[in-house]
Amino acid sequence: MRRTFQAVPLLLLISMILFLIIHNAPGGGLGPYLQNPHITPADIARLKHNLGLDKPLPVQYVTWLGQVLHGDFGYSTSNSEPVFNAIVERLPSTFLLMGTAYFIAIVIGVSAGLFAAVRPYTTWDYLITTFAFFGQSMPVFWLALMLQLALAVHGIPLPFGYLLQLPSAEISSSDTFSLSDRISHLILPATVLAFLNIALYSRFMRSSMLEVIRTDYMRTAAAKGLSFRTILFKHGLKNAMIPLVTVTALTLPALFGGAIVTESIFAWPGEGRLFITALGQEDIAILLGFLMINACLVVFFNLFADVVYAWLDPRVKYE
Amino acid sequence: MALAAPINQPMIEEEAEVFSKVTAWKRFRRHKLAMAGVVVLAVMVFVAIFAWKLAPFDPNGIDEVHWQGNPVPPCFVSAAQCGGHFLGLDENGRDLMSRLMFGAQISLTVAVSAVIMELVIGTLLGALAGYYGTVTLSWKRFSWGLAVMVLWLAIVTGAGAFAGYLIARYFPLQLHGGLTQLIVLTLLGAKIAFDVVKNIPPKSPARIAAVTVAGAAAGYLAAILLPGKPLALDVMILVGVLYGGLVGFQFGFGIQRVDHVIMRVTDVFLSIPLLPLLLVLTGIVAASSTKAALSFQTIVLIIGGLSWPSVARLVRATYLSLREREYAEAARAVGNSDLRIMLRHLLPNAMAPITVQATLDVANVIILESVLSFLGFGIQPPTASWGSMLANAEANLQEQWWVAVFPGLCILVTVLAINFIGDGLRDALDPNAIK
Repeated sequence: MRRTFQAVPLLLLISMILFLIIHNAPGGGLGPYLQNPHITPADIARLKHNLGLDKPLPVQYVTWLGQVLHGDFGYSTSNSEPVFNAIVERLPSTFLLMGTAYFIAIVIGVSAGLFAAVRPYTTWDYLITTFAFFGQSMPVFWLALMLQLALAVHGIPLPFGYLLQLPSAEISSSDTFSLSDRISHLILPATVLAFLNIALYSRFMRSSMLEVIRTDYMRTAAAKGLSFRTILFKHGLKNAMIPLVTVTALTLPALFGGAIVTESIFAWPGEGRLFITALGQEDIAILLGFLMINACLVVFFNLFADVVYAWLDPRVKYE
Repeated sequence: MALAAPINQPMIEEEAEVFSKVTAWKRFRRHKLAMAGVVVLAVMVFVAIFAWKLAPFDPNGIDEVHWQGNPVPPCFVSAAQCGGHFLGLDENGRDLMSRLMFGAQISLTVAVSAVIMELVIGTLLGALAGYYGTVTLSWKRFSWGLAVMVLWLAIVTGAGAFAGYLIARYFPLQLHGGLTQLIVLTLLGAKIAFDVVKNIPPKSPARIAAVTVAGAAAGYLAAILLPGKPLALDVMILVGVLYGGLVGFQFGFGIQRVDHVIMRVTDVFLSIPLLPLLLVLTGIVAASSTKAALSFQTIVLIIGGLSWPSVARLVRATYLSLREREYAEAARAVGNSDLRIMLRHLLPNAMAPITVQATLDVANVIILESVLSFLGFGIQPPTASWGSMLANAEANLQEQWWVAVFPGLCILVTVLAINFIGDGLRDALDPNAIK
């Protein structure tokens, strides 16, 4: 409970620092207008006044904070829609991508780590460990390019890019929905995004499982005469997976970063693409909203992971 | 003393055996992959340093003879026929191999410089937070300690750096080999200077002279690295901002725990996803004038300035346990200042985890820089870095696969080598490592 209250000043501090960083942008968020020769300095001044950009920074900050609390995060300067709507509209497709990536990473990572942990220091173990190192060292975007190349060379018709070839607004319309189509579009970007985490999780799982195997309760279970399978899955895996909760939460910021790269390569209509577009148009309202919402999600999931951790592992207590 | 000696003697010997550099090296050598990583990295660094000598062509020059607008693929066998372009030409008709070599220079230099910056900031803040930890300091003692620290930094490095800047203005050094060479020389020089200074008794005139000369040398190099403005100014502004921010927080929230303040700021930066934040910052710099403003130095400042929190957190945790050790207490009892204990007594003992983290961070920064450059917000063309070489590869992927394959392969191999080294270091430096 106390940690929940601590999150509030943390978020305030985050918003303050983000606001300061972003509003140091030259052109004060009117970059695209300043470059347009048809817009006179008088227009700029009027725009500034209308958008409240001529007020001192602290006043602007409080105004923006008010907008955040009203749930619109200000208005985008490039297409004047509420920032919150623009982001939330694209969140589902990003979550679809990230969720699938998480799922792939956990399934493959955990099983690979488990597989390596039950036969430590064998060829299989070394193979998996080496593969994990490769995964950790692989630049995500290059992996995407190489996959693209390999598929093109071998002529495999896996669609590359474009979720349903449609703008994001139409994703939800049910008449175009087709599960196989969705999966075939999802498989490449999700695999690429999951790659780094597969490596991380399998290494983590291996060391965590090795630790659990040495514990007394595992020996007790073996002494009771339980089968290896039961010991491993019922007693071992359950305990070894507890710390994974924290690790998945900690890898979230990196996953957001990875999503930006993956989305921009695979032309995935998620918030990562929105972010890159906004970056090109110097749409500071969107950028600020994006960073703020992502930071909120990270803080929330860290908190959530802590709670789940304490629930799963009664040995842990938060004061 | 006579009584204590026989009791302490065996313990010291035992510790010395566990932690000595020789045993660490022995353990490191046993890690085959890490040794392979060292070899690979050594080759990469060698190529990066001597790129100006090794590269067969000008990295930015277009081969007018062989480039007719058609792709020129790699020709390992009959290199003479295609003008010696082993790895072919890139999408603009420039020699890919030469660009890879100069790209190695930029990519490695960015990574090493950014990590050095991150280490300095992270260690300083982490040490402060960890050393004072949960101790509630009196307001007076806290601000006095910080003020002394800032003054010390400003005077020693600032004055030296300014002098170096002045020298650099009148006796400019013509750089031949580029930045990587400079960085390596700087590190070597710093190591030698450190060893020399270490053996001069403290508070003697010779010591002061040595420190000032080192500061001047640093300033000289800095002036070459960051032309235009004395670095001392930047450093002093940065320190001033940090100091002002800390005092401001203290004042505003009435918190009297340095630890709290520093760790809250660390939390903030750990909660914001790093890559988008980096992109926004580089985007802002790019928008401020032209994209060319995104120079090598700016990228280093932005990456280094944002990635310190993880180091700070690590150093804090280490310091929290180290400050309870007997030798820290002994140093305090003898009357050493807090700053001296932090830097001379605790820092050497905290080096093992810091080294491992720094090694792994070099690998991470290489990837970060390549992502930034790939998205067009990092190193700008025509300068070659491994990431920026990939930026245009996507469009011509099918016609010119080699443009996409080789830079990425360089990144992968280098990062892999560094990760193996980091793993080996972790095993070698951690006395409790389970093998």
